[in-house]
Amino acid sequence: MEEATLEVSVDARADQLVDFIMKNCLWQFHSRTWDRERQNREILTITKEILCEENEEPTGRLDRCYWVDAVVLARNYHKNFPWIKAMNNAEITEVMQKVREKVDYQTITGSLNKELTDEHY
Amino acid sequence: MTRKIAIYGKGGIGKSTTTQNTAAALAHFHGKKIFIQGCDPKADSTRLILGGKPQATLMDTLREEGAEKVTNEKVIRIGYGGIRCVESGGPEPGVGCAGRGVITAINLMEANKAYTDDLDFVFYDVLGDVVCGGFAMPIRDGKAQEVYIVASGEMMAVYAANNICKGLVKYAKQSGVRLGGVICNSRKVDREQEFIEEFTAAIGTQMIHFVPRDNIVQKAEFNKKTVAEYDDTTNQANEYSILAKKIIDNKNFVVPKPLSMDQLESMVVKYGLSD
Amino acid sequence: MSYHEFDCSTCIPSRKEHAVDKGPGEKLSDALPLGYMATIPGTLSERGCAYCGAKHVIGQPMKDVIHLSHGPVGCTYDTWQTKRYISDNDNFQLKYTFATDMKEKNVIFGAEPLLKKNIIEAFKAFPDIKRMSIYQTCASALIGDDINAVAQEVMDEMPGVDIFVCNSPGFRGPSQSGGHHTICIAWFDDKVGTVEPEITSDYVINYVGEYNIQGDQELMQDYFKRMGIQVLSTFTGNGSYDDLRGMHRAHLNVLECARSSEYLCNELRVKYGIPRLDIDGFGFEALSDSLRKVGLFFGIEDRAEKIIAEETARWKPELDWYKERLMGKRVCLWPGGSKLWHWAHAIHAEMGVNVVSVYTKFGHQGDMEKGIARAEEGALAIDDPNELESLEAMYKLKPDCIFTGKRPGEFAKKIRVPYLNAHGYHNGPWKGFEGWVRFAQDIYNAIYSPVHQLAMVDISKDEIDMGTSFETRRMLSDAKLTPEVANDPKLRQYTGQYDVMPALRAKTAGDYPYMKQSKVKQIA
Repeated sequence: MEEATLEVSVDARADQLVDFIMKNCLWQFHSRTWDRERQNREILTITKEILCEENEEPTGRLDRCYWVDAVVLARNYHKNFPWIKAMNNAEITEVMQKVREKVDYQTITGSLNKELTDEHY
Repeated sequence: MTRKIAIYGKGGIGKSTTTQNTAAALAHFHGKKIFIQGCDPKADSTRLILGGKPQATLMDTLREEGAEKVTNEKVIRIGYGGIRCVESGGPEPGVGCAGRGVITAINLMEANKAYTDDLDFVFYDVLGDVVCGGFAMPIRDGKAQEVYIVASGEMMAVYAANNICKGLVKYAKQSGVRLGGVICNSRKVDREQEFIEEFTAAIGTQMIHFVPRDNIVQKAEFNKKTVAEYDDTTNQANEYSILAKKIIDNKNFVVPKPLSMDQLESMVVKYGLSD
Repeated sequence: MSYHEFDCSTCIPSRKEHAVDKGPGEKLSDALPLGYMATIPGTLSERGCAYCGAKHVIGQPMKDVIHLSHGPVGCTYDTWQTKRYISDNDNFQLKYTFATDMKEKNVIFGAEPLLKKNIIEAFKAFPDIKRMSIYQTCASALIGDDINAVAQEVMDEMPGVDIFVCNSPGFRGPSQSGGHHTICIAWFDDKVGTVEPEITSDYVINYVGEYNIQGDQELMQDYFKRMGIQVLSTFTGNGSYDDLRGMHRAHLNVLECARSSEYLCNELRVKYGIPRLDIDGFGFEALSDSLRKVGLFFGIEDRAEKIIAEETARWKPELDWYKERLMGKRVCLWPGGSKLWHWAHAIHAEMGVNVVSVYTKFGHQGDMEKGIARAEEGALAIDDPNELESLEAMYKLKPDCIFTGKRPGEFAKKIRVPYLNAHGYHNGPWKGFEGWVRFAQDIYNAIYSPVHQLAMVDISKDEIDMGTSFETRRMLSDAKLTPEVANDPKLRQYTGQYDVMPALRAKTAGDYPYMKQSKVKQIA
């Protein structure tokens, strides 16, 4: 029973984090599947690293663009979800992995947007 | 450098037949990589290369699925000799605007980067009566640099050729397109070759080849093939091979000097009176 | 989320997939309205055409350009002076628009000589303007006029001028959105990279998808300049043709209206490696985060924080004054393409307003994804709405105000729903910190206008209160507030100027100390 509630808890927390993204962010809604795959991967990975205090500020401009979205997201997470402070890095990684799966599902694999697969911009 | 060629000529004169047979010869005898862009709503520019199978036209695909869903995979078919084929398609007789269809088709192909650098030749096979700006799309800037006009020794074919030259003069200034010559598709008219040779000389170009009339062409067509595919040992197959070679080697590109009606009439009378 | 079937649209079954109710706990993957499809026959759609999208929305805001339509006068006239994209060169592009006035004989015989003559005449009439954009219309498109060739001829003959050709006739796409796409790609293919711009800062951006409606661009640009950022070009509000030819040299593309110009940002990213950063210029929180992101990108976040602090201190008390009085009011966000998602969350969070419906006239499914994600549960999302459906929605939802265009706004008025012009604003600008307060003020004025209170009385059946005679907005809005809130000394009504532009435009180099930085190495 302990396990079950813990699972639900991770899932529920991930839902909160995902809801925040969907309400406030635009970076997950770029134009095509390949754009969204890249945006989600880069920004959520960096966000996780920042939350785990493992991130180094990048220099290249494409990388910096992901980074700024991640920095602000991480800050907003801390501001709105105080329970993050109590989590260790393994827990953060686990919940952020779930976040990534859910955002990927909503914006890519489960998306009903038919334009995502068009060849050209 | 890919050479882009537009084929014009009177309706029914044999442009599509000549283009397909020449393309087949270029591929089969001379190892060239070819792309045929049919620019005729009748969509019959690639039948012989594809063995008679009708091709989904660009315009049909656009109408059914929308421009964003038109991909090269959907509209380009590969036929005899590895020749890539696209049909623009367009409306049925009496409706719509076929000229706009040609504009849209070519724009789409360019947006999809269909005319790749590995091609040796791209042929635009354009319908007979160039009645509006749309049908001149293939000779706009950045598209065909050479034009060949298919004609015969018949009066109307020569009239049409002369008329097309007037359009060419206008585009020659804007886009640099040039006339590479007239292909005489013989109708076994009296003194046909002489007439065409005098006509082409008068407008400043050459009769690049005299293609004899031979019913093997019809036989092959009936079998939905070009002559090269049907029987490449025949004399006619060789004629197309020679025409192909002449096109490959051609350096005679001019801005034609169309004749006035009076000049044209007197030439016609000259060759008609000798009966 | 489930599809929403309008009673009035049961006769057109395909309309069902174009509207969705956001149910509790449901996600975008459950249902999404279709979008950007061919207009369904039988619907009184509110869409425009691709020529309008190209010329009126994106092309014409460029301020130092002669905008010439190659077609009949009607097309040109009807896409002129109905959008308030002002500029700081005395609105040249608003005062003048040009047409070749094609007639039947031109359609039959071709109109290229007519076009050439008009181009030369236009340049001669306005010798200080050396740039031109030519817009194809249905008429010139069908006859195959080669506008590009004519333009090239003139450029060869008049070396000082440059001409951009936009081949976006009205039929090219289901709606005006098709025109946005065409002109973005054409500008990218033909003009970007043809001028080397002067770089005056270490921090260089293109501001894309911003059309300076009532001064939005100038207000936002003020923030960027206060941070020492060079706005190399704005696509296209208050924008200059030659600046926009130099877009390839920016470090970052800051994108507001993704609907109209994400195509351009995507192509710039692929070809020039310029990253695309989507921002919101509306809403204190969203705008603050947006400025922070731009600041972070360049390593000057402290400058962004300074501006955020100053502006928030100045304007938050006024925003909150309106928030107290707008809480719980119901509104419909019914714009063209992107404001539904720019505003859906911000207006709820910061003005306390309930967004009961969002719609888009010409948006794509991507706009719906953003809009529905940001809206609250219960919101009705409609794609390509029509008058009958809008009326039905208003009768059912009973909004206190709707934000939409002039045309739907007029029939909203007829059923006594106040409207604000979402496209051209009422008392804009509405972007930025001060602009957002002006928006709140406009909403407040609309909802609490005594005129509306009077107009909403149906004298055939309602009770008429003979006790009240003189009412002000304040009396109406404060009626339900507690005295502490109503008289809170920390809050106040808008105290800015009626016209924000003169003060902004009067600013000099001295007001932007960071802008004096000389050019050094650029970010990788």
